[in-house]
Amino acid sequence: MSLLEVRDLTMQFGGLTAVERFGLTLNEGDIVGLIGPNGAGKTTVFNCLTGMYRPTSGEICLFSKRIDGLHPHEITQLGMARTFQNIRLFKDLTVFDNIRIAFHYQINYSLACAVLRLPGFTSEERLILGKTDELLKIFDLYDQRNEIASNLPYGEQRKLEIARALAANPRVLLLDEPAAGMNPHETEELTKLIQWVKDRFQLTVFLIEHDMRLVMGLCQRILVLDYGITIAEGTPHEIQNNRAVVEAYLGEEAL
Amino acid sequence: MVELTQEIIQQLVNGISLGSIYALIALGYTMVYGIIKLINFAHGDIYMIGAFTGFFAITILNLPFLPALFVAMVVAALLGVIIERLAYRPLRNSTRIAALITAIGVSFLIQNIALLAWKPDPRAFPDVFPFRSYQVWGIYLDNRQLVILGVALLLMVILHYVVHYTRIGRAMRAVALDDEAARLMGIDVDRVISITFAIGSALAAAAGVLVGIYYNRIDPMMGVMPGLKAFVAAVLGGIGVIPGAMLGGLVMGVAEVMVVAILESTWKDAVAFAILIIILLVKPAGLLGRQTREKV
Repeated sequence: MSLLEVRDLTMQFGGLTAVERFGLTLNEGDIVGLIGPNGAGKTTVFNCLTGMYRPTSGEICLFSKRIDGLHPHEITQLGMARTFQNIRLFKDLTVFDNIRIAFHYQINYSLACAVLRLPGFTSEERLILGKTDELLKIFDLYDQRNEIASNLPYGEQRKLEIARALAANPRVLLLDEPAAGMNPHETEELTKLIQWVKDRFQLTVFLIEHDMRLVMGLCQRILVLDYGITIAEGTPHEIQNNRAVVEAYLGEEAL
Repeated sequence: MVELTQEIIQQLVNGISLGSIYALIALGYTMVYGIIKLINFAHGDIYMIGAFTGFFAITILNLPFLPALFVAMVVAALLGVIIERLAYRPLRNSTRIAALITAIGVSFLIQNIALLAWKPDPRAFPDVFPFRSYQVWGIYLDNRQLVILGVALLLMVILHYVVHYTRIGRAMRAVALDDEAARLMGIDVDRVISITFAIGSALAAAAGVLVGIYYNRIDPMMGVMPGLKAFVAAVLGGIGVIPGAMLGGLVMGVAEVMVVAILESTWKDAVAFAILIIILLVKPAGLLGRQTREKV
């Protein structure tokens, strides 16, 4: 069964077509890459998928349910989470709180319950404390749990963002340039981490990335976007040898 | 020397009582600003509605003090939520100046409805706590001041607890820092904004009832000056910073009382705006605010 099905997704801003008739099928356990030159519309696709933009036309189905037009928080609650190209942690909060916030919709107690410290409040809070600690340990951030997020080194902020997305309990994880700004060594670690996390949490992953080693190393399938149009789709091997892709990246003269 | 110290402490006590009322109002300004970057100029009028609701709850419904306070807080919370829903939410994505002007419009609307409904004449707030004065080491304290301090302190402790240790408080802080990222963590931002208005308005209503008890009089225009002063208090403490609003309110209250004691009472309103001008010149981020390079 396909988890995420996108058909004919088009997004226009005024007269500009950022994405045109984009199509995608993600099956359970897939790990698919989206590449393309800067400004090709990759992040726009993500923003449409997560409900930050309302697509001009087209259909997006998550678990066979139409999600285009839903609010971002509703889509997250259905089981799709994302990270951002430019890290968007809650900078002034601690590492611990950053993750704890993402459990928000999974807990439920009333304000009165919290103020009076009734059992519903304490038990739910204790539950997320445990889950948060577990995630921190998995991502090797436990020792920095009381650190303010913006004080972490860059690579760890990236990791924290992925951990935070996982706390929202997704089945589909969207990663927007997870390796941006990382050195080759860090990228290699990250590649392993993504693969490991995907298996551990049984995720389906859709990622945008410029780092070809990461993309080619991880993805079973790759889509190439140029000026909003999908110019190629295939296995890493097929993409590397695709004439249109090389042209889009390097210009015609390179050939 | 002893007399002077006593006098100073006496004025401090009076200033802190008044200041804790400003602080309660300032909290609403600062919470709303923190979350949607709007100066809610209708906030002072919600405080007035709170005072009137308390008044009617005591006189018509014959409720004792605490239930009346509770009713006033609930009514104001609902009013705050309705105002946000009808007046501010449709403008969420337009320029900030549009929302600001709307806030001023809402303020006038509430004032004038209140003038129509309740007439401009001041009313005597019922004597819930018959005046009783205590003297400790030459310093006079009355029971109303104690009630004000007690209620204000309790509400601030609850607020601090809610903001820092509960799910909704975390959501509020997340939305204030990055509302888009918060949405993508599954947080219903509209709901968080509604709750913020509800809490801020409830605190203002509590301040309204306390002022009714302290000064024994309320009128439909009573929200204007305290509203502005609380706004100054919020800016003084650092707008958007919750402890800043508490500190700013107390400083304002003490400053006002001291100026009245040293100079004369006609200076009492001027001091608030002098403080505003000085803080904007010297430390625009406020006492507890962080320097940011945000363009307004």
